[in-house]
Amino acid sequence: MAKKKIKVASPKTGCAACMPNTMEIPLGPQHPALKEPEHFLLEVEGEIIVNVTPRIGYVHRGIEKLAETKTYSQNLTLVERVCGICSHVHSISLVNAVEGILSKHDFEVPERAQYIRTIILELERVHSHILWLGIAAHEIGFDTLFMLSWRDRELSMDLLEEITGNRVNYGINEIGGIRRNMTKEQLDKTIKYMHLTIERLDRYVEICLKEDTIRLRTQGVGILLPSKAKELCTCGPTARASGLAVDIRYDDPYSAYKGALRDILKVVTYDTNDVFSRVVVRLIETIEACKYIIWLVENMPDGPVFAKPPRKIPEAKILSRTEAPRGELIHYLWSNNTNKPYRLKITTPTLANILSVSEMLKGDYIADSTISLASIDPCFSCEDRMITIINKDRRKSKVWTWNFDQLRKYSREWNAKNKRWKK
Amino acid sequence: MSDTKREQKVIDALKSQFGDKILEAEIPALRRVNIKVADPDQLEVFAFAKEKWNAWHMVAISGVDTPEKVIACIYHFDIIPPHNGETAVTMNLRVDCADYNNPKLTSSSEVIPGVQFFERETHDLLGIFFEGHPDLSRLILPEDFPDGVHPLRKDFLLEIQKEEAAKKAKK
Repeated sequence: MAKKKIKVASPKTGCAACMPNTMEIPLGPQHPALKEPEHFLLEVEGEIIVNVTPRIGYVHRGIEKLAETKTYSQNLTLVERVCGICSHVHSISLVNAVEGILSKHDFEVPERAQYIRTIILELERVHSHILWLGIAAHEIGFDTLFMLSWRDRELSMDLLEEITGNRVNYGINEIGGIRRNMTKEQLDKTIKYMHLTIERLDRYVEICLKEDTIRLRTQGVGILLPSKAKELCTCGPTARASGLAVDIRYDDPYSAYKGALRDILKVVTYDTNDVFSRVVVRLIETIEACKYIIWLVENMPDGPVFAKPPRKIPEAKILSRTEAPRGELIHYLWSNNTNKPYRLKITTPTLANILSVSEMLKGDYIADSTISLASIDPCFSCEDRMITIINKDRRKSKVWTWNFDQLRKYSREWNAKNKRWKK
Repeated sequence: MSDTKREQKVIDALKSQFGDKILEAEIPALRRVNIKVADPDQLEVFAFAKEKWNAWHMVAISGVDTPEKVIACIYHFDIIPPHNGETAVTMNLRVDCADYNNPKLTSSSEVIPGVQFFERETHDLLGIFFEGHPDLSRLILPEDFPDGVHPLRKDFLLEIQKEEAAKKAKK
């Protein structure tokens, strides 16, 4: 079981809207399920949740306003900072919007650049979904799977680091192409690592389908019926787990999905509508993503990876839709014939899915709220370069805080001593 | 631009149903349709699209403070095909608010309940008041943020924008 820090408030009085004999339990902003601040006010009757009021906005940073003061090239760096896990998809979305405007003025992006972008997009989906599997396993108290899956996530993280130079904010996109080409060795390594990842994931699918620990905690929990999902405009894997076949890669193709890749693209859906369904959809999607990466590497065209764009972007209004690991990402751009955007609107998948979480939690036990919350894969803001270790025994608590240099030193020493598991 | 037959079909269907209520309609790109209607008509368009094309998916709502000093609200929703190889058609439905200083629109949360959070976000950042919304409280801005200040309006300036303006004035 995951540890919970739930504070029980005094019985509610003087609220006409709530039912008699209900209590309010604040969940968050610092919470058991997520590493990101988000507040949920659970209204409970005994152990059963009857109503949920979400409150978001704790990490609002005013990025949309700031984007109006920066040039398009600077904005690519800015929008990558919206999210630490799916940073590439944000810059792809902006780049697609700008290139969409330029394409009406005879500007074309080299095809090889599109293929490499898509490889990174899919790698990002692989590492994000495996990360989610680890989190979900941790929430239900299956820490072995958590450790194992995060170990295997390192394969895709290492690939990303080798291709782009960074582990988190890749910074590989540029309007008109990409900044780094992929070498022959990198392509070979990608194929090798992806086969390894598929092998591992097959094992996890087997575990998730057969293991009682997972089935008992996830089946019948956090149910979101298709009719409700439609009503609440759910998107991404959460919608697909409720049996709705929506996938922007297929519905509104962009980058390399426009071409032959769309023919082998599968929209994975599952119809049990619960947390188990979301586990299955994400796992199968990850395996499919690995296959797309192999296909992209095998069919990679030769040629340049960058074409110089004009500095000023002609006036237009354009909507760019992309499928982020968590769902649908929207960038709506108004340009005004200068080098800065007039208005850039970003809508992230978690905002669209928050209402669905409230729906999922209703009628469930408090104990299941953490896995239901985690099941939509809410976006973790960013990774701190810092580690804090707290002893489980509180009386002898000991806190270590490492900065980046100390952490790096430790990792080097550890690697020198221990044989890395991959070799 | 390649074939835009399906987009044209969508516009034709809307025009035959609503006639003069559709103020503007164009196809800006492949798989995109831009429409403009006046205030309460958007509810009818949503209900019609939902019934005719099963267009349940409201993707987002964008509020824009336009250069013409109009607060515009743009609803993005898409028509998802029954997955036989076709792609979706996304509609950008624009509704202008009549009054710049006191913008008001009718809430569409009765037709599509999923828009509640998008509307609350737009209300926070641009100050559009949605009539008939069940709970139009603060969503994104902190609770101690001053009332009546909306950061995405063009008259709200960041420090960096003020500096730029001061530099320009000096020149």
